[in-house]
Amino acid sequence: MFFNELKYFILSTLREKKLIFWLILFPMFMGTMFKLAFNGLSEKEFSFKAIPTAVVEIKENSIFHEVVNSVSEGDNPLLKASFTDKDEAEKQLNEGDIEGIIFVDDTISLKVAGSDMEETILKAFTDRYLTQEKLMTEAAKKDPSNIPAMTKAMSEEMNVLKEEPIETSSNDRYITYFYNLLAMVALCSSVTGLSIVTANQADQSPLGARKCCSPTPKLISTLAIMLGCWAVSAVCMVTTVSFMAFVLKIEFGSRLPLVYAGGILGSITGTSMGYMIASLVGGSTEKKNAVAMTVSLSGNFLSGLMVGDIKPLIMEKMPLLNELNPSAVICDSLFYLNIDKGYDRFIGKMLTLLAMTAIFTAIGFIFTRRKKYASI
Amino acid sequence: MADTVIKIDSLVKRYGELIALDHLSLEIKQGEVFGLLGPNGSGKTTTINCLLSLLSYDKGTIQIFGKDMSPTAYDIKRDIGVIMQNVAVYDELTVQENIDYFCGLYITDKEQKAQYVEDAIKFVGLEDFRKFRPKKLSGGLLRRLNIACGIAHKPKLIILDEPTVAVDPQSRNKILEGIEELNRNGATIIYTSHYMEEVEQICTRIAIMDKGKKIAEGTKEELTAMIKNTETIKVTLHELPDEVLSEISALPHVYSTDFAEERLTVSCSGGKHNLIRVLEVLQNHDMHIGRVTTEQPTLNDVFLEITGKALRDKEE
Repeated sequence: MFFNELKYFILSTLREKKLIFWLILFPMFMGTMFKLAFNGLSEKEFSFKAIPTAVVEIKENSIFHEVVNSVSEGDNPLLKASFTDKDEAEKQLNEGDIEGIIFVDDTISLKVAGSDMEETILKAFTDRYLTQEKLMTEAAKKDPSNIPAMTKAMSEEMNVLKEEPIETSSNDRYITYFYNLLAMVALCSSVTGLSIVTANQADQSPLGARKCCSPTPKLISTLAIMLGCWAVSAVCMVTTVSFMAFVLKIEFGSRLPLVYAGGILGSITGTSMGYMIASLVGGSTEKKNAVAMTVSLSGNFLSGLMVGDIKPLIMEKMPLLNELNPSAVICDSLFYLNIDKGYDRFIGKMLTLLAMTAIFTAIGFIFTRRKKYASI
Repeated sequence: MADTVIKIDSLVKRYGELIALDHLSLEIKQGEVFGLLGPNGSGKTTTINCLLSLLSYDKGTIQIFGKDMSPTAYDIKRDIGVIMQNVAVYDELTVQENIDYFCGLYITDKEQKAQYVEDAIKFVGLEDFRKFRPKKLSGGLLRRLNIACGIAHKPKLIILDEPTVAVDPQSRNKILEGIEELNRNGATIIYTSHYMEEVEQICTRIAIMDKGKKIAEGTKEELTAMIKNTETIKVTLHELPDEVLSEISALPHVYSTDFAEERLTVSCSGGKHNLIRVLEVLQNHDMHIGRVTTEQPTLNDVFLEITGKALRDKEE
């Protein structure tokens, strides 16, 4: 009974033209349009320029001073550092003359004005210094003659930072629009998720009524359709990612399999969201459909699909909203996959999506379980 | 005495202030073709939905095959086939796939299922349309597919809720013949309709419903015997003097006469040779007699006499 349900659900859904349009053809079309629009704006010719930075020394730190000087020298320096006071540094930051201020006090802290590549490099710079500072201080105490050698070694390591983001990611900053497009495919999968309720409840459709007359337990039917929804949305996501990666030649970096994985998990979250919406919203299938599409597209809007600047604005004013918006979480996960050397932030976002999926599914299940109908 | 397949006792279903079913009790025996007849809104479909545990109800009990019916009574549901008023098939699946899918909800054995699907396709005469999608089928063929999906698993009890709505006469006859064949093959049938001709044609026992109540129950003969009218005589005449009409009205067993638009209508209650007596009076007065017909009372007459209104809306 389970496989009978699964087989015919997948077959009938994949033959649904409306669904195929919204989950495969429309994203392909949008992706092609993005590609054409952004082609001229590509930053493939990107070359690294020293990051203008102010260093405010509230307390003396000779090792850090040396490191800053080292990474500011040479033909291709990491920083264009200027040692100044706090007021002057704040003024320069506000006027956009510098990308960030490094405060040298009991510890090293950083203040930046935005979240672009330069700010990310500055953050990585201070983070790396802080992780190695203790080791260097202890080594210097034992033998002060080691300081120049250690400083040089650390400076060389810091210089690598200006290459890392370029090597591990696409230079194309407009790739975030493609991430948003993938997030749209994921959230629009909520429309398939509606079927978990509409195809199973007697008060939702004649099909639901007919199925409720059969000896197939609703739990089996629900699980089969849920799995079917996940499979269909995964197929749509894989198709879209493949089209972008191999036809449009969008550079997802060297971690394409993880882009597939992130996208598929996003789609599963989307279908679960549809399941929850269908269980909470009363009325006709059309009404549920409209609510699911509105919620999905609102999420996409807030994550920057339509207006690219909206996401940084929300990040600044309502950061929690970005954490709760599945579309933003999907975009962030793919973004981190592209810019981070490690996987910590990507895994963090994946866990967030898993938690959302679990919560959405649980709500859907609770509100449809053993439902009795007063009218159909 | 045949086994009781369905026993409904004092069923009450309310929609707010509206009482959709008012202490409805029914007992349906094995092998019957039981008709639920009533106008739109009389409670037929609500009865079916309660029977199938699709709807909750306020009071009463429902037993099928001697067991209490509930949404999780899967052993009971396994032997029930349902054909709803609305066509319930997947638009994206072919005729064969649809039947295979719905049969698969009941039958797990692959070989048996394949055989049953084949039997169902042949039974409804859709052999030439097995690869068609529902949207390509005519209204009649679509109804046949709907029926095939409901009966493919060879149920012991088949419930048909107005299966011939909006169906052409040819398909309607095919459907009715099919129902009779299913019954001959051993299935108990519940058939709801507001078409009295269909119910009269195929049902062995009939319950007439109005406003959620069962107002009469029995065989067609038993139902028609309940009412005063047993025979209606209609004679075409160019003219009919009042004294002749009075003489006819005075005949034994005649309880109503009417002459309008060159047609005499005489309603009789019981008795024999009513037609001969009426014709004798007309001949005695040298009336030129045209077309003569006699009609037995219909279920509509039964409904009309009990409720004071026609069974079907005029536009139908």
